[in-house]
Amino acid sequence: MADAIAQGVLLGGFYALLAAGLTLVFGVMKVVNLAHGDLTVLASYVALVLIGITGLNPLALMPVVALIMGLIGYALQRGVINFTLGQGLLPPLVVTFGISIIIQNGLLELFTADSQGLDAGPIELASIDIGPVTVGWFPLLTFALAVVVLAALHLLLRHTGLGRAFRALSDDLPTAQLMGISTRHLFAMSMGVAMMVMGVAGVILGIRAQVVPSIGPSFLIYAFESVIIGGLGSLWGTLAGGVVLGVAQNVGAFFDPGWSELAGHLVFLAILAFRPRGLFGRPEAL
Amino acid sequence: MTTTQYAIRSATPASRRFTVVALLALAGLATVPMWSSNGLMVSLTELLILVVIGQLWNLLAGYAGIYSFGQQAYIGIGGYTMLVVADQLDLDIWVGLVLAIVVSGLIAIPSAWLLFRLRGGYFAVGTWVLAETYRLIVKNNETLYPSGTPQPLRSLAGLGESRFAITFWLSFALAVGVILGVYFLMRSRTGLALRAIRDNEMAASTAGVAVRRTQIMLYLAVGAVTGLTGAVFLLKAVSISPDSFFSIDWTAQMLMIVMIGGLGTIEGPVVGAAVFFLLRENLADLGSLWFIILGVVLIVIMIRAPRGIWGLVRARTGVELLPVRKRLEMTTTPGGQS
Repeated sequence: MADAIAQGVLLGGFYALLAAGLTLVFGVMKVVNLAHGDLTVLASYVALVLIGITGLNPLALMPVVALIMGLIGYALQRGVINFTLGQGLLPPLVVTFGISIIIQNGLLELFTADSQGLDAGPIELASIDIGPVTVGWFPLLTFALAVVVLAALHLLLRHTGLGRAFRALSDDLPTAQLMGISTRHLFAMSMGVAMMVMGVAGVILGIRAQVVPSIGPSFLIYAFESVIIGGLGSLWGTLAGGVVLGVAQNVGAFFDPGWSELAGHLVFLAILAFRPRGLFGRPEAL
Repeated sequence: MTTTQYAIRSATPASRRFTVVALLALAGLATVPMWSSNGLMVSLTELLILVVIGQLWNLLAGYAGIYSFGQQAYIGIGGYTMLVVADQLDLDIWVGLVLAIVVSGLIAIPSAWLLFRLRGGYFAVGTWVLAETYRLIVKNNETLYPSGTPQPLRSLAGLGESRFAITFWLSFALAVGVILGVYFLMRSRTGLALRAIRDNEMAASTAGVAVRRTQIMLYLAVGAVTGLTGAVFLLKAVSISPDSFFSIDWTAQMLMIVMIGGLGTIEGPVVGAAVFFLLRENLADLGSLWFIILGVVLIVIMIRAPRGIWGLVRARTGVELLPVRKRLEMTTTPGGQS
């Protein structure tokens, strides 16, 4: 049980990593990207292809995957999603849902429905005893990576010109436009940054579990639950949300493997019922 | 001198002619079981169910600004209610249909209570998560999903060959009922409120429309009818599993039908269902490629022609076959004799 909780906490780091891109895109554009999970899975397959070409360790290829995903994100935003903005809630939902269908079935066509994983070597199995619990080095590394990525996003948002522009778009779109901000470019930049983080998350995803083309929606849902549990508009809240979700899933699985996902959903619904603003919720802001 | 008469009407010449044609077509459709093969009846049943789910999703999204990606929750709840009532409680399938409405409506109440706390796009994902939650609850239940295999609806055996006709008539009645229901709802005071919400939520609220309450009531009603649709669908599908009845594919179909046909019109989902059905009949063999085509079509329509086929027709011709708006008509008669 203690092990289940410890592993749940570390799993929460992965969920925070998964959720960061969703939060960023929603914060800047007020768009919920329904293809979020599928794009993360796409990153796993991009890593798979790169490993096939170079033979390198997936962890070494992580920056390259992030860069490729960032470029795809920028292009996707400028080429498609930008055209859906400013006409209400439905167009971006429908279009990102369409992208989700295309990615899932495109991956199915190219890579079949067989599950595939990324091999990161002996680190995957190494573990360490911390007090009463045993945890894996890789989950520990994932958690640390999540903290580093969230800190980097925090610095980007608070201390760079790009971050200032993102926050301006988030707070007051019309005024930001009046100040001469190029929304088309900056929306694409925000999607690019989000997809870089999704690239990192996708590599981790491929190492820690086997992936199949159809699992994307599950990860959209976990990311979403982390965001809502943590509270909208709070990056560090998302980490807490991810931890709560991870612990719920692992404790659920401890009692019955079939309850893992269900326990996560039920905790999410309980938060929605009793604390709808989430644990650290603020009004929608970055 | 001339006299001018004013009248407030909804009907147009086109809609009057259409009413006659539609009545004839419906009378024709009602006779299908008397002469058609079982295969044709099954196909038409599928088409009618597509019309119903499209119409119901359009009622939420096109008229009330409720973007649910989790209506499969009610398809599943209705289907499983039918399974429990007909097979496990050994009651009549008619009782199953009624209880499908009741149970779905009842489950929709706490669902709405939770979901309407979420705003905008997050509402959409929330509905999806809730549908997933219901799927997992059923999947982990030993009586509903024993040994992880799809459950056949055994009660159907008692109906013999007549089950094709019964299922057809049920889906036919459901489709006609839903279309007429939407039509009369839209012509009512509530319909006016819903159209106001669709056009501008904030303005509607300022004008005195109880936006949230209207939306929630509609969500409950649509949930109940979607549950009935799930029960009817089980009669057609014969067997049920949580992964198929609670599948997000239902939402994908609803979206396709409504986007192809035209959001926010009654005619749109009917046209959309017919087009989607023909596409599916011809392209579904392509497998994953068919779904890629669907995704591309969805994106292209949303960006290039967000009003769908019927929106284009109406913009070109101004035709409304089921008009819900009231118009002021002036007729001027040249006088003098009197």
